[in-house]
Amino acid sequence: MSTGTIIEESVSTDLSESMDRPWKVVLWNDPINLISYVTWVLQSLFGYSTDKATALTMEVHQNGRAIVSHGPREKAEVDANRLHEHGLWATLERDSD
Amino acid sequence: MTHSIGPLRRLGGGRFENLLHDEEKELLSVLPGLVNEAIDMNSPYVTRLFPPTYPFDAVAQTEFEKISSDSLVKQHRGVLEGFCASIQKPEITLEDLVTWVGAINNIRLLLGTALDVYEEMQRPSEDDPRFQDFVIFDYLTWLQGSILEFLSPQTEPDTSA
Repeated sequence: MSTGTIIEESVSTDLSESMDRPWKVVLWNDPINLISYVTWVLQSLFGYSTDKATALTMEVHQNGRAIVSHGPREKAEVDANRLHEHGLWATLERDSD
Repeated sequence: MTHSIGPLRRLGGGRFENLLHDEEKELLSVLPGLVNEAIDMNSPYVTRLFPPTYPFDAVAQTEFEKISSDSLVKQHRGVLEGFCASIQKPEITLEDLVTWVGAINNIRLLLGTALDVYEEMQRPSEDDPRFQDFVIFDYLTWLQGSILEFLSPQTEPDTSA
């Protein structure tokens, strides 16, 4: 086995792990959107229960941000875009865990 | 401004009576045009309507905007158009209400950004040049909250006759 092969395998493995690592959809606090509106959007878009949607909304309100969804990059982008369509402020982060 | 005690009355079957006063309908018919104009002009006040998805990755952000910005503009304009089309109707549907909430949110985001609103902010005094805009912003806040009560399953008010 050549050294080159070892390096190629290592890079390939890292890339594969990187591609497979899920993405987080981060919802940010803002001073304009109503708490009741954010809760309703999370229920409507993601089918969350009232308790879960309320807890996430309060986490956003109190901590400034909360992870409201995660998954492969394509799904995370769709989720973020749907939140933007409803006037919420969402960004994507690669999951570092 | 004076406004209705409640904007709606539940009729059953996913239908609602529109109880907004003529003065309110007139105002609400004008406001969507301001948002559309701001979008056309790429005003800095529309930034909250088009937030970055990748704020720390310019390349990814540019690529994402290529595939999403047109549909996002279309979505925002669509709810504003739907709002204008139904605001004068005496009877509206649940689907209309969802459109109303989205349109009102778009207007609040524009106005709130222009007024630099922050949490727990107090309305300025009547001699402040921004006073009337704050009155409208507060009215929209009340209206959106009132409509959400009709959309939220656990808190929906029973105002049926």
